[in-house]
Amino acid sequence: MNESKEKAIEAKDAEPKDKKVHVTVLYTATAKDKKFNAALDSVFKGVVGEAYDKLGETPRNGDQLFCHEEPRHDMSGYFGMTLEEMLKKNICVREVHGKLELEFDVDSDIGGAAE
Amino acid sequence: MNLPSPVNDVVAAAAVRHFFTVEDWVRRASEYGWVLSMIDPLVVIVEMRAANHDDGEYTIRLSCGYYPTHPPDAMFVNPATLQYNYGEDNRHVAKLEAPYCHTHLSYNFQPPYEFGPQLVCSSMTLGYYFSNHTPTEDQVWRPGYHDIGSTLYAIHRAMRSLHYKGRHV
Repeated sequence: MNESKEKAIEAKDAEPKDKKVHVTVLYTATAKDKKFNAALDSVFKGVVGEAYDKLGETPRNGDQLFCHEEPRHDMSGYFGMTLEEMLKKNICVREVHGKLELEFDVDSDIGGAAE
Repeated sequence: MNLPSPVNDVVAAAAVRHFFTVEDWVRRASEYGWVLSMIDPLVVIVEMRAANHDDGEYTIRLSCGYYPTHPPDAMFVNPATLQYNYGEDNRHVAKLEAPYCHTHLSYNFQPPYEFGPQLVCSSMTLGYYFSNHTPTEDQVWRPGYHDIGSTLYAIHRAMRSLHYKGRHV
């Protein structure tokens, strides 16, 4: 077997065996969470929509999305990306023991003021 | 907007007790490192840490006499006395400058507010509703939906964000 074929096999072995992404969403104001699976080629915006449905919540102006892992990272710039692209760019989607995981928070709008 | 009224003590105490049984919040409290205790059926004490600051441990006193119809009052207190005296206890107050949670050492409450003068200004705290603030429909406290955990999370969120500016002086 030539070197390039060996490398290709190694790379394939290194890929996650489970191609679906295990999603966990947390609605932080109520501490309710939901888990579901999404395809790796799903667009993040669609995953967020499904997350709201599973939670039984309605998206509201002022809601903010963050990667659950601290320090939390704002996810609002990634709606158009697929989960696969997020995985490659190391944005919240990660491989844990051969399993792909995405864990994010929905922070609902809260009032407050400096005055 | 009408000012909130206290809730029957028995009802309020039952709601506080119930909060301690909500598994979702028990799990989150453990994850977030909140240490909760009660010094009275209507008073919950919470120790909470801020992010990335060595001096970032605080004690918060939640007074629940208006709960669950309204949010608890939240006040940063001296951990030794569990009280707040403006001036001498300022350094026990986290400086939070988030648009959803802002601390004031001495707020000019009109009319006077029984838990003043400190204000943790957030629609998840009682003081917000005694300080002429007007939440949007989405921001307002919803009894039965929001609970003590919602109040704690609003403060925790600010403490773990860039809006945490260290201690007041």
